[in-house]
Amino acid sequence: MFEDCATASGLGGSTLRTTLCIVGAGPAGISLALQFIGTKTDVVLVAGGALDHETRTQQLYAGEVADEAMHSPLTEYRHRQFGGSSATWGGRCMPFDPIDFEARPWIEGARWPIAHEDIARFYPAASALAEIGDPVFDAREAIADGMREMAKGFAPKAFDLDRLERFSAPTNFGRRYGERLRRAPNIRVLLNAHAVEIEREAGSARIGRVKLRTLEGAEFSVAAERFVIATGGIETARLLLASRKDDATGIGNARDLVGRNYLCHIAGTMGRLTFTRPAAEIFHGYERAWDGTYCRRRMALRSEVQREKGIANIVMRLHHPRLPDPAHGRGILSAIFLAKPFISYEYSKRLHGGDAMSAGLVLRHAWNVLREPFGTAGFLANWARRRTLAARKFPSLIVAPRNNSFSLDIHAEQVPNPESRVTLASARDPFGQPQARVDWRYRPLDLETVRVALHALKDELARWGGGSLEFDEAEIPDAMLREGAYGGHHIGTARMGRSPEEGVVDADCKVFGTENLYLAGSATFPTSSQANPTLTIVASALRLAEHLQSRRESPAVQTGRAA
Amino acid sequence: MTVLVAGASGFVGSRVVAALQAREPGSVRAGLRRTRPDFTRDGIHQCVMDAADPATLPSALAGVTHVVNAIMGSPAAMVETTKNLLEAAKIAGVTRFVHLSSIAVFGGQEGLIRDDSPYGTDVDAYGAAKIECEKLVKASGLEWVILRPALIHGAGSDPWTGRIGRLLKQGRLGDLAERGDGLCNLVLVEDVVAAILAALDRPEAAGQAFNLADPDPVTWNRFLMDFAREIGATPVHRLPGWQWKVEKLGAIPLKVLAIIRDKAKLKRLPLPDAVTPSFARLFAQQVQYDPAGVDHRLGFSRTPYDEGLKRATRWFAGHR
Repeated sequence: MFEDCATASGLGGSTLRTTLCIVGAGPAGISLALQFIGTKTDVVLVAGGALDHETRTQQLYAGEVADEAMHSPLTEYRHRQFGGSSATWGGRCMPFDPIDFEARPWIEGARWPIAHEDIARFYPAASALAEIGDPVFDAREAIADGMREMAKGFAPKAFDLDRLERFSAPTNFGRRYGERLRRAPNIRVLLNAHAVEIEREAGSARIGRVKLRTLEGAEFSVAAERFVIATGGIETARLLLASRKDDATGIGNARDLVGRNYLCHIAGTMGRLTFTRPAAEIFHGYERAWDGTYCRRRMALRSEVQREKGIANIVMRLHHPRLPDPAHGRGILSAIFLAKPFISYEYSKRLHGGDAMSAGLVLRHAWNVLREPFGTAGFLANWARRRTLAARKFPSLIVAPRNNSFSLDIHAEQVPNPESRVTLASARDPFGQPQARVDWRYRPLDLETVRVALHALKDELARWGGGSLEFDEAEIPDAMLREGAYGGHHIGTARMGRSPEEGVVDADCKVFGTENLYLAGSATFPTSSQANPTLTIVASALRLAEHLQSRRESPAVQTGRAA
Repeated sequence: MTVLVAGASGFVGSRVVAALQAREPGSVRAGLRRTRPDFTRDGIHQCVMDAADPATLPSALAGVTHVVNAIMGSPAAMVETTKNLLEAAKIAGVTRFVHLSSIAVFGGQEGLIRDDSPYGTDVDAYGAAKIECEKLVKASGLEWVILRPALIHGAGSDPWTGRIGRLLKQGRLGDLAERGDGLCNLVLVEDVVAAILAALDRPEAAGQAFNLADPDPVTWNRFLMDFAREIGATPVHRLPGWQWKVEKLGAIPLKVLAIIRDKAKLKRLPLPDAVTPSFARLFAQQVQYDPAGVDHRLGFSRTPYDEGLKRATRWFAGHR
């Protein structure tokens, strides 16, 4: 059942009672709610937005960024609507690796209270929800007749070239699963209901209610046996920190951990990998599995090498030459560069980098386009067919370079850093609650990981003899930080730990110091892995659902113990 | 037991005849309008009859103890033939009348449907005729069993194996995303035949209607993906929203062409399959049929899902 709180009457001052209240209707909240269809548990799913994007609602995400060169504005890379940021994601999915969950003494604060297998057993169901086809991430098994090799005969020891990324449609969880929730009699979805505060029951460890507001001025609340906050890495921290009625520094923040260790990914393109083998022996594109999913190989630095070198997790992909440099000579790359004003902020930032457009640059790119008009037109027609008009979209730009010379697209783990923070700003939102303030910081190890991995690849190529990698070490900080924190992946702000000293939530995602408040989503991940987070967000939401269903707390018993 | 299968040259009827003949040679009479060479070759007793013409029925029914009514046709023809057949069967002293109806009697209802659930109020002409026929059967005074198969697929099923397979190959069905979350109520033709045999045999089936569908249906998306994989319609196409709009527009001229073709008596003229709005709606319909009555009173062994897929695939591959 759906209810739009923006137009509902008689909400003001009311208290909705339910068994489970889920705040946040992105991939985590929706995946969690879906698990309660057909059960006896009554669920209220609170969506802080409408079915579609609305500017007024989106503005509630506005906040402060300490260094604008290091982090995108808080209204970008996330969508405040039913379905959350799955309304805008690229669909790239791959699991976390076992090493991500291991204690790595060379990385301070890298520790999960659970094992890889605790999450991995939910990857098949998460893959189904994310619509990435069979949960097979090995190139040797994903496609019936085998996948094309990235570079024929290249079998580096340090890198695994068989690890795959699989692409979602990309599925908008709101559109895809909204109808299932609407039909479920035990699930009530509140649209345009904005959670402003979490409140305890007087003097107890139990959370009593979540206060909600609408932009139309109504103030009401949901009382539930249990609450799950699933509002993403930034808003989860903000909501906990802003809930100061009973806890001076915010709920779950007795040890000043909420909002710390704010992680994204270290990403960028750099280097020049030139193959001396025939172009036909090099393949950096996508192949489709039987179910239609696009799959692509990556170069994943093996965990043995990470251990030996004392660095973090990292993957690299063969990439077209950087767009802004017209020296690549490809009409289509230049055409896309020139189309900057028509491309969404999120993608344009990745594609165009920070480079300004000058008249001279425009002319040189225009010349590239004019030089190969048929190539460019053919590419655009293909793009229209396979991406614009397709429901399962061709995931990204694949252009084979003229000279067998690629750049490297790097996606690396960002290691935990307590100084990288989400805090409360002094400015307030229309409900009078403090906005979020993001101060994203990285550590020297983050760049060291990239440096070591590039050298490892360079050595492997030299040993093989089929290609070579050139890069300038001095270029690493600029290339990796040109765009600051890699947008869209907001991780770690309410991390999972074995004890309240180590984390905000326990291994079951329950907030320490509360009896019935849980967090879902990437806020709870203590490490960021090399992987894009969505698949693991969904898997961990499914894990939480299983936990919530395994035991229903009886309020009577809880009260007895508290007394 | 001597069984007259009315509609013996039809998709289900012909298979019932073959099954009865295999079980007990000589126990079956194939009631049809024209003799079939394959029946003649197999030594099947054929009675030329036309249920629309009551005069042809007494001789077909002479000595018959059980009737299976598997006649298909226009809504009006189904009602008329059922009425004629029931009357003639009563006079001939038939002891059990097994009538093939359809889940179309429930219309667009959703949720869990039981064997005794009320008829739908939004049924189409076909469903309305099936309801009318059921009422006639129930009021006939004969001992009756009504079977309501869901969508019959497998060998010989053009609508649910042939058409679906063709549309998958053409990229007009596939991964339907949120439009394919409905439950796929298919039933394999062999299972329908097994149910009919059980309905002839089992005393406890008398006076009951049974819905025949997969007791544990998968979603349409799952079935379409699996079937596409089996028949090689891969990589499976995911349908964008605009494609549904095009299909909706295209269904109108296709329907007009089909009417013209039928009027011109050019039945053989091939026309492209249409994805009509009602066909498209089916894939999102959340309906399930309670299998308890079937399992309890009819109890025949159902073909597992994977085996059903394989048989449908084998037939589809051989018929293209």
